[in-house]
Amino acid sequence: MDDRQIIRMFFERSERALREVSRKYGAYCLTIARNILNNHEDAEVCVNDTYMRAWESIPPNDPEFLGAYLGRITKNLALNRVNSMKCEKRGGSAEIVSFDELDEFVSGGRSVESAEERRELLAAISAFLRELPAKRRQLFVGRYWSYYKLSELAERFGMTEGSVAVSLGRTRESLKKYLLKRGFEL
Amino acid sequence: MTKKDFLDIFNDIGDEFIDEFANAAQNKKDSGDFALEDFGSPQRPQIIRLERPPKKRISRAPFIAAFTAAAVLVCAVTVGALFKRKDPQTVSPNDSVILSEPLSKPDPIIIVPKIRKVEQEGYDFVLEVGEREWMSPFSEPFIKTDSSDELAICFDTGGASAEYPLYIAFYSQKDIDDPYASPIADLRITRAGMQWHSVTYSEKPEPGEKIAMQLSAKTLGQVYIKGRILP
Repeated sequence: MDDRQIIRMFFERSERALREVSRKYGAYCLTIARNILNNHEDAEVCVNDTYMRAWESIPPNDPEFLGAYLGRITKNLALNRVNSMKCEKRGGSAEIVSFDELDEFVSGGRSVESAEERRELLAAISAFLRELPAKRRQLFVGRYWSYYKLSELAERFGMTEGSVAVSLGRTRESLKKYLLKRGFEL
Repeated sequence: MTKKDFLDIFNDIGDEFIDEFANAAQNKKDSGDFALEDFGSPQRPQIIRLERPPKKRISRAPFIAAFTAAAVLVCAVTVGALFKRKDPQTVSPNDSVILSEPLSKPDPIIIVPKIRKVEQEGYDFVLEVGEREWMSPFSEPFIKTDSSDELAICFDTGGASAEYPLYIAFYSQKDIDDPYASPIADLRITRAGMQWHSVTYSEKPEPGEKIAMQLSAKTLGQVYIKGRILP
């Protein structure tokens, strides 16, 4: 079902909107939550909370991109939950995805603290993403925004894990060159 | 920059990118075991099995043009490399075995088939490869596919083994100018000798579309592959 139809159902306060959201984006939200929380039960609760937030916020909100809207809610809820668990357990077992492969992408040195520099970096990264072929862009966003595992991306895109890793590696390398060429320090 | 910086900044990318992935990753098959049927209840939601929706194809046409300029450059480099090549040796019908020493370097060498078709009864093509090049552009497309889900090819895989596997990736015609394209099918061959290989496409080619093949192997020297495509 088209996203605009689903949003119309939200506005009409039809609970079918929730079923349609679950049907269309349930697995997507669940994967984000599960990979951040490392726990299926917690992830299910998180996705339920996502639907609740969506139900409460649409209307008045009328998101242009429903998938992104739900993804952001899920990710924020999951990250908040991990952070609160860390506070309660003082750094307990809950860990956000480590992304070891990014070790070669960033220097790990000086932190980007200036809001201006962050804005410029974001603009450059966005411009880079727009230039990418669709599939490579989706894989990159799936990995570093949605926190999908390589195996999950491989399954979703009908690829081997090796192909996914190669694609991500090349995109990281291209992005690094792109940013360095524009004077950014990584 | 730290990893956290990058992830924090990346978190703020535009919704259009996130939505594009969300729609590409929307429920296709598994994880359809989760659905909210009992909204607001403290109980766990009822589990239902969702039907698998048809695969959504995303047009790549707008991006192919962007790669054309890069492809022209890459082709120029290739032509230059070809002029530098030594003349290929004559392929005889029996020369279908890898005659090579294993490479000590752990990373596989990307061997791009510089195609030289050789007439041989019973085969649609005999391919000479073996000119070593690092991540060179795609080979000239040479396999013409039908519209079936699978491509069956008969290869003499030479001396391939578990220790020295031969990796073959297939690319669709529209991706030939894209050096970063993902393969639509691949084979990892660990057995030596003449054998049939069945390739299942992740993205089904159009009828009559040509597909390109790229090889990588932990072998040096020349590799001869002879193949036959099922009608």
